[in-house]
Amino acid sequence: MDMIGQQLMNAVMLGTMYSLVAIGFSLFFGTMNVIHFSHGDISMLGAFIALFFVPIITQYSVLGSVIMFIGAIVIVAVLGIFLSGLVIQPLQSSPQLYTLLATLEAGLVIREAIRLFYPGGKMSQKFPIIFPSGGFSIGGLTIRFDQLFILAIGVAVFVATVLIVNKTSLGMAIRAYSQDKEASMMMGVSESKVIAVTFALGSALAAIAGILHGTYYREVIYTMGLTSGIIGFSAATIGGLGSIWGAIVGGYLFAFIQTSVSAFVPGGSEYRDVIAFGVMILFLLFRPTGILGERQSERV
Amino acid sequence: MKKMRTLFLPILVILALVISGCAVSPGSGSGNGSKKQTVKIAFIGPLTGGNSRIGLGGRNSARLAVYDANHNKNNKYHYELVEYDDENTTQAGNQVALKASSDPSVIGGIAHYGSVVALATVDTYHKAGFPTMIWGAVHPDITLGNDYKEIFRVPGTQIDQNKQAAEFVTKLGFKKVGVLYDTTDYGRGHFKYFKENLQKLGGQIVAEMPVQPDQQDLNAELTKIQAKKPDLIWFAGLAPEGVRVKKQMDAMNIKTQFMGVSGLVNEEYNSALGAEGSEGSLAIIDGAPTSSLPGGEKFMKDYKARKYSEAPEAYGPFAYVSTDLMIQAIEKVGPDRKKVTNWLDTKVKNIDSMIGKVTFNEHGQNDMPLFTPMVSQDGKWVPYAESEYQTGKRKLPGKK
Amino acid sequence: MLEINGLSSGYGKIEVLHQINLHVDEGEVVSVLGANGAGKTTLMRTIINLIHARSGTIKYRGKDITHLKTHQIHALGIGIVPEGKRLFEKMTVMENLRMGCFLEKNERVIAERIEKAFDMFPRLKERKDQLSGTMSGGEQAMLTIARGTMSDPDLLIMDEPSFGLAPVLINEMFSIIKRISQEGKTVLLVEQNAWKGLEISDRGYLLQKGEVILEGKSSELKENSLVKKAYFSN
Ligand SMILES: Nc1ncnc2c1ncn2[C@@H]1O[C@H](COP(=O)(O)OP(=O)(O)OP(=O)(O)O)[C@@H](O)[C@H]1O
Ligand SMILES: [Mg+2]
Repeated sequence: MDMIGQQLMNAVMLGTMYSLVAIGFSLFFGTMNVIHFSHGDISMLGAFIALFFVPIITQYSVLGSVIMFIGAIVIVAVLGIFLSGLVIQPLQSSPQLYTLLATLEAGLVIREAIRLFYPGGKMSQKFPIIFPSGGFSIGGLTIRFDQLFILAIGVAVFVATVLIVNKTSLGMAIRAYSQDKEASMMMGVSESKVIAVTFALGSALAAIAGILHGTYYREVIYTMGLTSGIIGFSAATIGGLGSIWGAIVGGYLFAFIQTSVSAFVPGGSEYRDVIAFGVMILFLLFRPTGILGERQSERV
Repeated sequence: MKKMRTLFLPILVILALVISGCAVSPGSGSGNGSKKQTVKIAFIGPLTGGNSRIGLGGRNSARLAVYDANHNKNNKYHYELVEYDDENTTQAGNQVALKASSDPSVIGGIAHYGSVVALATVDTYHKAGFPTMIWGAVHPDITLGNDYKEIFRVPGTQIDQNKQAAEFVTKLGFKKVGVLYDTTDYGRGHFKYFKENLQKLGGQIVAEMPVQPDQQDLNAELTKIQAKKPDLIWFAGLAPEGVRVKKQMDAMNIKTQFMGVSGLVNEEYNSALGAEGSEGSLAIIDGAPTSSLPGGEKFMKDYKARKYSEAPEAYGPFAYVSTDLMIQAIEKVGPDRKKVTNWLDTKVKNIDSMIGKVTFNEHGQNDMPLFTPMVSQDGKWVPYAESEYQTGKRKLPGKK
Repeated sequence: MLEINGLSSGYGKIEVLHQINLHVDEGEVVSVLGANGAGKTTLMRTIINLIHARSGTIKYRGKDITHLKTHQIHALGIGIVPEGKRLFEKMTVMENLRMGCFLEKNERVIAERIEKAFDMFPRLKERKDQLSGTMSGGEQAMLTIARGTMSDPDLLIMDEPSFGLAPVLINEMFSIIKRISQEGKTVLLVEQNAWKGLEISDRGYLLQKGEVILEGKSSELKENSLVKKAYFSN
């Protein structure tokens, strides 16, 4: 029993990080109809930018960690806006394939930039431990403090995102824009502002995922965005592209499948990705619009 | 404005291609001042990436061998080392293997640290008739799994290594072993021979988890292993993955003893984990620590004198001896690939070298069953026998 | 109030509007008439810069708005009831109304306007929490008009607001437009229902193949044979 609980916790950690990336994919597709293939690399960038703040973080310094989080998030949000202006908006009226290629290339450029220009960027970088270490046991289940922090931050961010999109006027603008661009502009919604906010929000979430990844595994490497990007995209797709809750559900589902295969199938680790992606594909065969997608896929 | 932006895309694409294309860059050898005929030898290894410390240590050692040869007045030829980066990936490995072996001016190669890479390239060397000394890869099949005359290896194989590793583990009293191995031939090979030998000695594998070498999250696997309460967690893979395993063990507060294979003996392991994280980790290496090799002291002195910025690491001596043997062959029979291959194939019997005697068997494999268990102490790999763990001054973290 | 001079626009290589001159004065109701495909919708969309003008100028209260963004034009006080309703279908009636006054941040003002909209269309009040996409065509038409007035615009541009309404409701709708006009708003109206449109408007323009071929007082246009022809030959 405690084994199942422990594995559940492992899956929840993974799922939290996947979902944070998946939401961005969903947001971008929902509002702009684009699949932003460098989104995983944005997440990686978040982790590396956070590393620049390392000198101010002594182990578990609360203020240092907060500054690092906020600093990295803000910088990545701005970079996200910049990237959308560079490779996505100019191609809006071109065939989708162009956007796809452009975002793929942008991801490559980001990765190579880190690999070449970050000191020692080809190797894993040590990431600071920003949450208290240690933990406690209840009924044979060991819960680490960093896991609690990651979960708490994840849930808080999910709730905040849903609130922003559903309850604020900015969120209303995003939703209106995603349902009918022109009509929203006739009501006074600024297109460039919606795009900027969407990219800032999605990129900020990705940065958070990157930082959590860093502190959870205690290391980051320039290729980490490749995996999180592919998984985030898959998670958003089975959740129903455009749906935020869908992306969250998709992220956790992917993590549960992976972890279950590793944990409960003998020798399963080797096949965990194959099986997880396989299940995703099967899912899409039977529910092409994703778990929470409606007939035409609910948008944002 | 819009036009300007759309113009930017092709530029971006070109930039990206340029950046990704210039990853492979052969270096240059030592200077050439004499009137002797110049003979080129290739050095191939991971010069960048997570295993680059080992690669650069091997490269420096090969440079040292070339330097020594060029300063030996009796030598007929002047040698030049052509350096290639295999990035420890099969893709880059295949590219540089082809590049080196298809250049007729390069007579032979000192190649590869990664077994997976070496397994992928031996065919190329064989087809090109390119005599190759494997300096750091230990999978048995690289030499034993084929009849290629061109492939030689000074370091021992995984078979011998794991026989001794199992004996070491048993001697320390570890009986229940939880295993993580990477799913490459390298990891699988190690695990196969480790398991065989451990079971012969009465040990037990309580959990075995194959993981992909790039798998980031190992929490599920470690949770499962830990549930079996092993007294040793043994990992077969290279140092960057080993770092990942150990970091996650630490995060999960797993205090069980950790041990790796020869691929873990890389100072990168200690520096990535910090002295605190690496303290007490076990592993095993081919041969012996440089200082206790027959020619070890001279090697270290010469190596220091050359002021290389990287340490020779675990396989430096093997790279040196491999290069030296290649040069001896060329001195004897001239810069001719076929003749060099034949000489190495038939004449290397009980040859003295800085690591001791070298004898190539019918597979070109050195029969040298010498291995040394290592322990990480104060952020450095040291021979277990010379460590404070041996004297009892320190206790392995997993020992009660 | 609105002054259009020499305006041309179109789609891709095709120019649809040629050298349009048109003006709307403060307080007027002006009808734009024309057969299907004459370019009425294209004109409305060009005014709010959803289609870029190729030449000519559009001035609103003396200010050149030809190259302003759509949302900026709206912010100047221009409300829009677009052709084809264009509701936010995944939003409730309430949310659609709130979108109508997206730039208004004062909650009290918003509440008043919503009250007023419900007053105008009591039907919407009953359905306030329904998703607009699930409403009947008539209800949707009402919501579109209500949404267009939510920002309390000075100029209301309406493109076929009566489309899809039952005859009874059409009459009701025209009285509402009249009411809007009596409240002091200026209206630029495209109406399929030419007679009814002319009845409530002061002046009118007749478009044919993207050109203004006739303009004048509504009462005169009603009698004009060209107008009759435009609406019956198609
Ligand atoms: N998106 C478009 N692309 C190309 N041509 C278009 C487009 N929209 C309209 N047109 C063409 O422009 C011309 C004018 O169309 P418009 O919609 O302005 O007519 P309309 O007067 O509003 O007609 P209706 O009474 O049917 O609404 C037509 O010939 C139409 O085919
Ligand atoms: Mg029309």
